[in-house]
Order: sequence, then structure tokens, then C-alpha cells
Amino acid sequence: MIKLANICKEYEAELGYKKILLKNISIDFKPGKVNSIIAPVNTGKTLLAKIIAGLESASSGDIINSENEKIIFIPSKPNSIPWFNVKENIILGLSNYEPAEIHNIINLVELDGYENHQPKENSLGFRFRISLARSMAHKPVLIILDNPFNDMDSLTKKEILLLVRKINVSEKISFLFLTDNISDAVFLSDKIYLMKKNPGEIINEIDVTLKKYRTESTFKSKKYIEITSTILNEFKKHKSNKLENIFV
Amino acid sequence: MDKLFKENFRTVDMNQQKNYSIKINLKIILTFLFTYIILFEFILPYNKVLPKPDILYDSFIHIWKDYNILIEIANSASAIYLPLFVTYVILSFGSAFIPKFLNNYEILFKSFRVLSLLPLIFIIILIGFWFNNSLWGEFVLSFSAAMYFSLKCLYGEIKKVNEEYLLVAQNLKLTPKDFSKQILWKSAKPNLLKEYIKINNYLWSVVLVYEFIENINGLGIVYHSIYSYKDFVALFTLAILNVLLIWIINFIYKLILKKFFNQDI
Repeated sequence: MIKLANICKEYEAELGYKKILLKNISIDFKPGKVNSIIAPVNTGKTLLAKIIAGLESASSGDIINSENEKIIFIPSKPNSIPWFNVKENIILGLSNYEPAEIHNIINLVELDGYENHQPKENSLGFRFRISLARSMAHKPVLIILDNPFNDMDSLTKKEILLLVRKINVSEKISFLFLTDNISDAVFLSDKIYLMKKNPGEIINEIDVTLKKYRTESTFKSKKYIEITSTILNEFKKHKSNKLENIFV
Repeated sequence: MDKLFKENFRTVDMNQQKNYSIKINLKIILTFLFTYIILFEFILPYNKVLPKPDILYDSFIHIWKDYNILIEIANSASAIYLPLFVTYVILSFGSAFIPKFLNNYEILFKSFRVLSLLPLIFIIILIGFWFNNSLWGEFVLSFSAAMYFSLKCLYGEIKKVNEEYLLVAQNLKLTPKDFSKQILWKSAKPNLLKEYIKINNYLWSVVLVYEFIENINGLGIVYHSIYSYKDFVALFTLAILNVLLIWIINFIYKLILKKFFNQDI
């Protein structure tokens, strides 16, 4: 189980003056669920993601990882290594693996038939599938998605959102999705944390009470629209959040 | 689709540029040849600047017999390409630790670069002294130069590794060995292979000077004989042969890179 307890990050902006970037972030990640953090642009989402993944250190607070399991971070530009083919990308860093298991993961991310394909010139959606498969192959306790859908075209994004949700439900993999896009977060999540800017601090949390299995029609459902507008209204209450930095 | 179209368009554009550059080069060469023949065959047949074209043509036939060129080419080429190949093999086998070593101990490598301030002629003569004018000296000199320039290239390439790949390595907790071999080495390899064209050209100069000074078998000794006999025409003939040889080898090397390493230079 993963838990964040009062994570703070500050740095010395000038001599004697410390700028607080993240303040008292506490999140309890329930296994097999998708948690999202919605925050305006430049709030410190990537920084928080890197702290949780162990790629940056926090100034104070704890990340409780009871069984010291792997946390995988998928950055905003999902990366595939161009000199490896799809399969080699997926098994990168694995000393032992079951070929059948890798084959199953490739099927899950819908890359079957592309195992020997070089991902050099492929789309963001293709590269995201590789990153997702690689993350799954490492059997992590949590996969962090740092706003990877922003540059995707709307059709690819919809496909990927459906895929991530399907994998979350069928494989019971926990995800943390950091985004500035309310619609994407509502579609994908079981729980949403709203984070304000200057400093980055959680201001509210909302349970997404949509059906477990989500389809394209979810985007048009009354409940979905309701939750989206609730979140937007929550952000409006906080003066520090400029609405042009939040997307719906 | 749009991206695919742009990519294809760029490929067509690059091919057009390539063809255009070949045409221009051909025109320059033909103009030069025409001017050379007219000027030095008919207007200034006796001069000390360039040899008469028909004598130069005859010299191409005689030089093979007079100077045993084929054997000497083989000597020089083996002193260049064998060390170059050995260097690449060593770096490939050491790919699990050499790039990481260069990345972590850059001070060591930078301090070693002070040696490049020494005049090349000093190093060549010194190696001649150490190895008593033997062929071994030539191999050591060639190998040292190939290794130095390969490491220098590798060092530069490692510094340019895409941060995204470093992030993947860090996040997946790759072992130092895997990180060095799978990320650093593989990222640097394409440009290292390209750099071998430049290194090869440089090694030709080093080896020829060594053979010239130390009077050791190879094309350098042919240059030495030509210099001793003041054979003005043979000097030009040998230089042209030398250029053609390097050009053909580079051309073959580029074909190998394209065919087996998917590298287009």
C-alpha cells in the first residue's frame, strides 16, 4: 500500500527566502483504484510525481511504501527507446520474465503483431502503449501518469483513456493521474484530488461515483457532466486558480 | 497521415538535394579537369606547378611497377584498419562499463586530453624511438590515435544522451552495467560509427607521416622515395591514388553502415 503523509517541497529562492512549492500533500492510494490530481498548469504536478516515484526528494513528509514495491512514472511525453523494438522496450530492465506474461501484456495494450516494430517514428498513442506495457511488466504497486494525454489528438486520447480504464479494472492496477484536464480525470478516476497553486496544496477531494466499467457513452452521462461542473465550481472558489490554466 | 506526408516530402526533398549536390560536384570536377588539360597540356606544358596531363597519365602505369604500390597499400591499410577495428571491438566488449566510466570520471579523461596539445610530430618520433622503427610502433600509434578519438567522440555523445532515456533508466532502476550498455552505449554508437570516417582520414595522415619519417614499409615509404628522387609527377600520381583509395574505402564503409547498421550518412 502507498500513502503520502504531509509531503512538502521547498527551495531557497533567494538568500534566506524559501519558496514553498508543495505543501502538506497527503494521499492514501487504495489498491486497484485510479486516483487523480487536477491542478492548474505549473502547480508542481510533475515535481510531485517525481517525488512519489523516488526520482526527486521531498523536503519533509513521508512516502509510506509498506512492501517497498515499485512505482513507475510515465512522463508527459511517453518515452520509448528508439534503438529497441516494441518487445525489447517492454522487457527493458527486467532480469527475469515469463514470455507468456509479456505476450499477455502486449495483448492487453493492443500491441499484438507489433512486437518487432521499431517505435522510432510512431505516434504519442503508440509510444504511450509501449510505456504502459513496460510499466506493467515491472509489476508496480502504482503507475503514475504525468499528464501524458495532452498532446494526443482527441480520437487517440479517447482510445487511450478507455484502454487505461479497462486495464485498471481487469488487472486491478493502481494509477495516479496528474492532469490539468477535468474531463479526462473524471472519466478515468475513482477519486479526484483538487490542488491549488502557490503553493501546491490539496484543497478538496471528490469521489467519482460513475460506473466501474466506462464506455464512450460515459462522456455524455448526466453524472459525468455533474461531477465535471462540481469540480469547476470548486476551482472557481479559489482565487489563486486562474481558470485559463484549467481545461475541461 | 499529415506526419507521414511531411516525412515523405522531406525524404524526396533530401534526395533532390543529394542529386543536386552530386551534379554540382561533377560539374566542378569536369571544369577543373578541362581547365587543367587546356592550361598544362597546351599553354604551359613545362612548369613547376602541375605536371603535364599526358605525363601524369603515363606515370599511373609506371608507378605500379616502380614502387610496388599494391604491397605498400596493403601495409598502410592494415596499419590503419586493423587498429581501428580492434578499437571498435574493445569498445563494444567494454560497453557495459566504458561509457559509464567516461561519464563518472570525466576529470581523468579531460586531463588526458592535455596530451593533444603535444605536436603530432613529437609523438610520432617518440614512438619511433620507443619501438625502434618497427611495424609495432605504427600499430601502437594508429591504435592509440583511434582509441583516443573514439573515446573523445563517445564522451561527447554521452553528454548529449536524451534526458527522457535517462529518466526511463532511473525509473526502472537499471543496473549500472545495463545503463551503460543499453542506454549510454546504444545512444552513442550511431554517431561513433559515423565518426570513424573522420578518424580513418586522420589515421591515414598519421600513418603516412610515421612511415615517411621512420622509413617503414607502406605508402609513406613510397612518398619518401619520391621525395628522394624528386619525382614530381609520381608525387601527384600517388596523391591521386591515395585520395581515390580513401574515397573508395569510405564509400564501402558507408554502404556497410547503411546495410548492416541502418545508418545513412
